[in-house]
Order: sequence, then C-alpha cells, then structure tokens
Amino acid sequence: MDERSDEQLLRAFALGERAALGALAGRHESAMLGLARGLLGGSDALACEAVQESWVRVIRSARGFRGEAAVGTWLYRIVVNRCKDVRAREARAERRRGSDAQRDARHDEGETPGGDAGLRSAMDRLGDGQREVLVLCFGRGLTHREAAAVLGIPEGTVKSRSHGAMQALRRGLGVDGGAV
Amino acid sequence: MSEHSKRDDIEEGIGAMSTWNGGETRLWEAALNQAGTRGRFIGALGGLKERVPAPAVAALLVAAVGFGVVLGGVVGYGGSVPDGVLLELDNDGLVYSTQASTLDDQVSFGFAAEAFDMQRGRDRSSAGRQWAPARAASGVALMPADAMGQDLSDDVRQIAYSATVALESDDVRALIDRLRALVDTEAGEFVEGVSIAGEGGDANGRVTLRVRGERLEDVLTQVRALGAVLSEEVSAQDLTNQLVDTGARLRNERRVETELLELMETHDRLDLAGLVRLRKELGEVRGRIESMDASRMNMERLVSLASVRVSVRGRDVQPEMRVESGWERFWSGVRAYWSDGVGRLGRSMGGLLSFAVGRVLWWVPGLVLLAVAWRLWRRSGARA
Repeated sequence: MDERSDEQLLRAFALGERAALGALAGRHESAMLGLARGLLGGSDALACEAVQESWVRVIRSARGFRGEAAVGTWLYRIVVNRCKDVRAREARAERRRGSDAQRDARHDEGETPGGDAGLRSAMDRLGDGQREVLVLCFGRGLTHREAAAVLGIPEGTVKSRSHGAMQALRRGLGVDGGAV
Repeated sequence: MSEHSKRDDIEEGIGAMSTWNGGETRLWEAALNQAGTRGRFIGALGGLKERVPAPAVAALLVAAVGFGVVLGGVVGYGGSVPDGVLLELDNDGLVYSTQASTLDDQVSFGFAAEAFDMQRGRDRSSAGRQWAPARAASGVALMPADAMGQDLSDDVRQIAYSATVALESDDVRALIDRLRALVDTEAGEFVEGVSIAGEGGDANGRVTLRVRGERLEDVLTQVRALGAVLSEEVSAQDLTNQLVDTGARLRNERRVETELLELMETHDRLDLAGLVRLRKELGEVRGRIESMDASRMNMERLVSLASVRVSVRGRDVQPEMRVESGWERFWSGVRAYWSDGVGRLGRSMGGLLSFAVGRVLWWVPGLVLLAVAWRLWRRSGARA
C-alpha cells in the first residue's frame, strides 16, 4: 500500500513513475466509475468509457496539475466533464440511429440488476447541472460545498439545483406534494 | 407510500445508480496505452498550455489567420487571370505577359494589379499641372510582353489625355478664333467642334480641339495666355491594356481567318454544307476583325490626339446667383450629407463584400484551422 498522498502520487506519475498512477487509480477509480455510472443512467459500459477517457485526460494533464483543488475533486471534475462528452456523443449517435430501442438495449446491456427504470428515465430528463448535483450529493455523498468545488459553481447554486432537481424527479416519478 | 419514504427511495435509487459493482477494471492501464499511442501531439499541447498563456495562443491564432488573409490578398485575387505568365517584378508591380480577355481580368492580379490600378487611378485623377509627370514616369511598369514588338511601342503607356479649361474674355468670338488657330492641321490636328452664343461681352462659347499628345502642354500654355483662366482640369486614361487586349485578339482572329482561308482552298474535299458553314464562319471572323480594328483605331486616335475642351465666357455674363434661405440651406445640406453618407455606405458594403468573397478561399481554411486548433487546445488540458 502506497502511503504517499494523492498529490505526491500525481507528481510522481508526472515525473515518469507509471506505478504511481496505478496507486492513484486504486484509490479513486471505483469512485470515478460510480460517479460516471450515476451520470450516465446506470450504464456500466458508458461509465467505463467515460472513466477511461478521464484517465487519458489525467495522464495528459498531470504535469499541469497545480494543486488548487484536491486530487479527488479534480478527478471528479474531469469525470463530470467526460460524462458530458459521452452523453453528447451518445445523443448524436441516437439521433443518427433514430431509435430509442437501441438506446434501451444498450442501457440494459451494462445495467446492474435492480436498477430503477423510472428513476433512470426521470434522471435522463433532468438538465446536466441538476443531474450532476444529485449524483454528487446523493449518489456519491458529497457535501454541497464539495459538490460546488467539483462543479466550479457557488454552493448556493448547488443547493438550488438540488432542490429543483428533487422536485423535478418527484414530478417525474408521480409523487405529489410540496417541498422536498 | 409517504412523501418522505419516497424521497428516501429516490436518494437510495440515485445512490444505487452511482455505485460501481463491476469489480476491478484497471482502466488507467488502457488509458496509458491510449494516451501513449494517440496523444503525443496533444500531450505536448497540454504541456504548452501550462507554460504559454491563453491570450498569447489566441494572439498567435489571430495572427495566423491574419497572415492567411493577407496571403489571400496576394494570391487570392489571381484566380481569374487567364494564361498569365509572370516575367519580372519591378517596383510598380508585375511585368507579365497575358492574353486576358478584358482589362478587369488583368486588374485582378493581386498586388501588382492593385499597384497598377492605383497608378491608373492616379493617372485618371491627376488634375491641374500634375499630369505631365504621370506619362514620364509611366515607364514599363506594366508593359504586357504580348505587345512587345507588335502594334505598340515597347516602353510607353498608351494614355489618352483630355483637358478642360474655362476662360473669361471681353471678346468671346475673337478668343474662339484664336483658339481655333492653335491646331496644326498639317500635323493631323483639328477642331472637333465649335459653338458660340450671344454677342460681345454677353457671349459664351465652347471649342473642342484635338491636338497631338506631345503638344498638349504647349497648347494649354497658349490657351491660358488667351484669357483669364476660371478653372482647369487635365485627366488621363491609360488605354495600354485595352489596346494590348484588342491587338492580341485581333491577331488571333486573323490567324483564324488565315486558317479558314486555307481550308477554303481545299474546298474540293468539302461537301456543300461544310463549305457553307466555312463561309459563314469566315464572315463572322471578318466581322469581328473589322469591329476590333475600328475599336483599336479609335483608341489609337484617342491616344495620339489629346482632347482640349475650352469654354469661354464673356465678362458681362454674370453667373446665376441665387440666395438660398436658411431652411433651403439646411435642407440642401441635409440632402448633400445624406447622399454622401449613402454613397459611402454603398462603397463600404461593396468593399466588405469584395473582401469577404474575394478571400473566401483563405477565410474558410483559416476558420477551420482556428476551430481545430481551439478544439485541440481545449482538449489538451483537463476541463475544469
């Protein structure tokens, strides 16, 4: 078990120590996959794709990491952005295919048994910002402050997005009532 | 199900969806391979991004596009020059051989043509006594090689000069008689037109003289001495390229005529329909030759004989004076400025359109390059 900090591992990798990246991945890859999975509607295949692309980005940018945020925060931020790319790419591909059936089949292919189709569908209908806040806060258990750091937005915005997202989800799932 | 329990369900659902249960994936290793094979260039860009500030990169990109546009100015204009062969560069522009079909084709030849155009514009707009050096300085700035040793002299532009002089005199008729006497009929000069109205000091008249180009300055000096000069304007029009163009096309048509005549001589091998077609073609070629010949002769006459238009006014003739009221002055000013503004707007739009369309071959790749560079730049570092 490597006892160096995340920053030290990243710096070591930037200096050419390949194994340091492995150690860093050992600490964060599972969390990154979880985040990506939540943002990509529970698809394991798309989550793997997004996380692999995130690692590519990490590899290329490791030298430029300035330590302004924690490595974990930085990794999450990269994953969030890669997931946006993947979603956009998938949306384009779906438009080309013009078929929702294929999308459902693909989702089913990499989906963990027990996934809530209604929730997934309601999450899909949310905007990127709201989905990200929900997954970070409720999916990955980050505080509002930590989610704000990942997304680069004010903490108040995280709260309002979270509130709006939950209301939208409740509407989408057919739950009546007022504030969450 | 209560609202709170439903909320808990939603949070649990999101939590379940955001949990990885797929075991160890070692995606970082695949990413290492991917980055190693695909991204050296982008990786280098990523490193650059940390060392070079974004404004510097943006400035570089803008400079690159600007360079492309300027380059487009040099080369982009040249697209429409037919059969042009560059021979030599000089300070004024390009000396080139061409069989361009129109003057505009030749003018569209990049900076050389612009330089030529400016020169031509200067020649055309030269006024007063500044006209003389224009011809002296013309040299061989744009002497088309096609014309060398042919119909035109080798080192002088073919320029048609015209002058307009307004004089005032006590005796208009006597002055017009003296003006008519200025032409040297033996040298081919002549009086193109005379008109006189009124008598004595109330008379006014107009005379148009055609004098040899090399005598223009002398004639103008004599004209100025005959009365009080009210205004004077001299302009020049460069007909070199029209003459060269016409000469080239004329020679070409004559070659065609010769070939057709040679074909006619073998008429025993032609059927009647072929013979008729040949005659028709020959007739058309000869028609074009005559038309071009006339056009060329007309231009040569314009070049060889400058036009001097002199208007003479008697001293007792008062120019019509009309006092405008304040409002009339105001509205005439508004009209003048409006007209001027519209004219300027039109010219600006025309210039912009010409710039945008004329350099489209450079704009489009430039913008594509800019977009690609920007995308690479954005991809080169972690999006934060």
